[in-house]
Amino acid sequence: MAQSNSVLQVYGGAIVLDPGSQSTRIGYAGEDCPRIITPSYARFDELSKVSEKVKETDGTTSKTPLKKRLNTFYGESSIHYPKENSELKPIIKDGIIEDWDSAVEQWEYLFNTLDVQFDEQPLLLTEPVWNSVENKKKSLEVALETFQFPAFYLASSPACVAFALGRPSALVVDIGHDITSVTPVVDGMVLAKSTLKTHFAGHYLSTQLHNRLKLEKKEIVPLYKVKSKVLTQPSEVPNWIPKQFSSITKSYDDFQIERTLYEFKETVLKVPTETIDLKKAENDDGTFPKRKYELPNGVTIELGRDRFEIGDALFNPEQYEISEFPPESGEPEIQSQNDYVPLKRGNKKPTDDGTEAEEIEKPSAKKQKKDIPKYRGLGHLASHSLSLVDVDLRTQLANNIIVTGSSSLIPGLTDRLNQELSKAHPGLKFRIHASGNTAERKYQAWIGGSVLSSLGTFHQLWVSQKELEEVGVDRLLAQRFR
Amino acid sequence: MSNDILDVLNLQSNNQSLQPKNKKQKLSDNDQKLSGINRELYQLLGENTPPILIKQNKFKDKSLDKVSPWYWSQFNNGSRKDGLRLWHWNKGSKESNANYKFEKYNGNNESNIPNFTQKDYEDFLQDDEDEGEWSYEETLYLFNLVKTYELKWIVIHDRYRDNVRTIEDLKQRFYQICQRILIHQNELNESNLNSNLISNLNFNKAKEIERKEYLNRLLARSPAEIAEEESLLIEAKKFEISAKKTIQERSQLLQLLDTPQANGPIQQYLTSQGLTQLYNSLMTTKVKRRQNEAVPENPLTVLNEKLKQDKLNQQKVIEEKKKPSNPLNSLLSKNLTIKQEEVFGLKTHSEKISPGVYLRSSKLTNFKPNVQNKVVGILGELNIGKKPVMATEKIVNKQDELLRAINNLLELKKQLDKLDAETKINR
Repeated sequence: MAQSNSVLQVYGGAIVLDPGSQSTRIGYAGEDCPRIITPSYARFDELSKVSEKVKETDGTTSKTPLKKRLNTFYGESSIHYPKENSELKPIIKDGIIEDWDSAVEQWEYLFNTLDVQFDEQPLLLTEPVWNSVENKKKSLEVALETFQFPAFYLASSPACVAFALGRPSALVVDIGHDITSVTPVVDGMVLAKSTLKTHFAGHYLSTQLHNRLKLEKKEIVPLYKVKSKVLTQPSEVPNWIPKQFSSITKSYDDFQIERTLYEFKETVLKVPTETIDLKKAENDDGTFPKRKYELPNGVTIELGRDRFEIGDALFNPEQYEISEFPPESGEPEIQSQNDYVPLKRGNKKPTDDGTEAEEIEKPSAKKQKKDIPKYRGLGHLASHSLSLVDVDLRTQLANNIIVTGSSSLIPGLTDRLNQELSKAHPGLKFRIHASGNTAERKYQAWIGGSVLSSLGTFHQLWVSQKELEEVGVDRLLAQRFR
Repeated sequence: MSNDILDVLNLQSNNQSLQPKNKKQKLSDNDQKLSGINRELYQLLGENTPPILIKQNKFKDKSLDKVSPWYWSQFNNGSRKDGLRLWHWNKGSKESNANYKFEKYNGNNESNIPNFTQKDYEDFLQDDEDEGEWSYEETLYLFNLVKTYELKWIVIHDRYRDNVRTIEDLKQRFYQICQRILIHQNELNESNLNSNLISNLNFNKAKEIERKEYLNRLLARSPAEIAEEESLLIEAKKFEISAKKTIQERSQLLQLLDTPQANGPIQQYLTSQGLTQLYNSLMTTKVKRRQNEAVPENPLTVLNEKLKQDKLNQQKVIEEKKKPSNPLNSLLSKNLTIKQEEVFGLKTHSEKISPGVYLRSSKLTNFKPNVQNKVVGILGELNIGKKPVMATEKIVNKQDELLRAINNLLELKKQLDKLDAETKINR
């Protein structure tokens, strides 16, 4: 009896935190959906009212998270509440945490909402592949020293996505809000050198859509401004009464417009099967069926060809240039991991210096040889990443292409991707795996983290406080977070 | 009870007479389970399906007083050296003393990747002829990476700090150093251990690069090339199969033509004595066979048959005598010259012909359907119709001859083609 009992052990400790550029997801490991999904934004109220108290707290301690700035708010409802003179600031940009003070406060708010036991539950945090070493160090510090979690792990989000689908090796195509990235994952480890990323993602689509509406002199009115409305057709004059606010900040207004656009593009956009020829001015409903969307102020907007063109822009950004998004080829920059190890570099014998200088010059010369296109759309990005990978791996990766991220839910996207990939690599057979479940597609990195940290064998990978003290941050980062 | 009602209404219950036993059984089965309807009411239904649910499942109340407890308890994972105690849900006891269940799946961190010190490196690992100018530090860095990533070369290459070294460079360096360490160990111990391993560590960089180039070229084929290659493969397979078939046929034919092979040893028949023995044995079997063939007849049946035959013959003679003389017969009995016969259109048939009237052209030789098609095709080429227009006897005969000739020629051509193919294969 005792023996059979000992078999029944369910591990359910860890907290999984997946910060993204649009929303932050948090929940318990072993569950299939995050508990809390909240915008990755912080609300800053007017400082004048609370400034004195803030100064007091600032001076005493910065390490204990329990004393937070008094003018910041993180709850979803408080972020969406139109309060006068309060600014909204993003915590995360391009997937990387920029505002650590706010991030810590937001996390604390989330941990408290979840009722986390800080001394019993370890924390798993996801990070993008292009995360900087400083950021990794900071997150390690925050988790183990500030929050006093017993153990911590940093998992690469593409690796988590691959885990969520149960594939050790895959090419993860993640189309998020700020960033579209293509990452090869091998045996659960990401290949940073062949990871490509561009900004042609969700925010890009919203901007495209907004620009087009501006051209047509159509205004996007977010919901908070509307007091009452009468439904009007595209041809009619808008008929609605606005709410009166004295001083709403631009950042709040932008955030709400973006939110409205978010829904708009979800309903309307579609990726065409082939690149649209802009010179051909065909506008018939057969090729570009029209679709209507009702804005919060009752104005109905009808889009036909535009909704296909915006979808097409994701694959062919060169054709739809906009000033907000400069050309990007997605070529990887010098990787963060190269910055660490200067120790050994410095130890090199002086005689080696000459060769070293040559070595540095070589890659740049190599890069010049390859002509890098100014723009790389999604299809090119994926196929280029695939050609960067070792030949032995290519067939395996081509068979395991995972499409994830909220923006990947645009209809027709996977078909187009498949088609472009097959065109670029005719010798390979492609299989695209995209979850049909919307929630799964949106929170796949979180789900993967949940799967990973609830594995019985994962315990050897946790980094504990003791290890941090004994081994030190630098070595931990080099050896433990693979 | 339903039967009573049916009686009253003057209706016949059809089922009762057919299978009374079964019905009774069914009813008694149902009786036990019924709970949602009055039994008398149910019986009134008779054959019909009840309109409401008549079975209500009762759920047994499980005694819920004993719930197996789960405890939120601490545990220790053996693979952790820092003594980190995590928490999990444990069924039964609050403190689990047993080893952590998943410990057995823990990865083995110990590797058999050799170590070396700077002194070792300077003593025997360094080689001035090394390609790519490796320093001690870089080699050590490579070895550490290899250990961390457990020989996953693609990941190692990805994490390698500079972009100059190719994956082949790294592999070559690593295996070279490993080999040198092993050789050095052998020299120290004066043993010949791991000689197999040492030879296995020969990493051929050029060949590896070549292999990858081949693979690259394979993947870079265009769709048209791929299609062509596939069709060629199919073609080749077909050819192989047909070649095999012809060779097999040929060998069978040769076996047939060859002198028969002796089944057993022929040593005993080589002497004159053995030869006579063999002759005798063969003769006796022949004699035996003949005897078997001639089955002795029953004299009585033979006699009966003879009598019957005589009777029949007699009857025939009588009938012939009775028949009036036929003018045609008399004409036939006359001796006509061939020319005369031709003039009269008269013809006698040596072979038997089927009764009834038929067209001469329908008696042309027919071949197997596929052969027939070919023959017709050739006739078409020669601008000759399938059937003669004027089907006189001579024409039909000539046509028949022609058809046969075509058939023969076709057969010959087939054989010739086969032989040609065979000579091609053998070349």
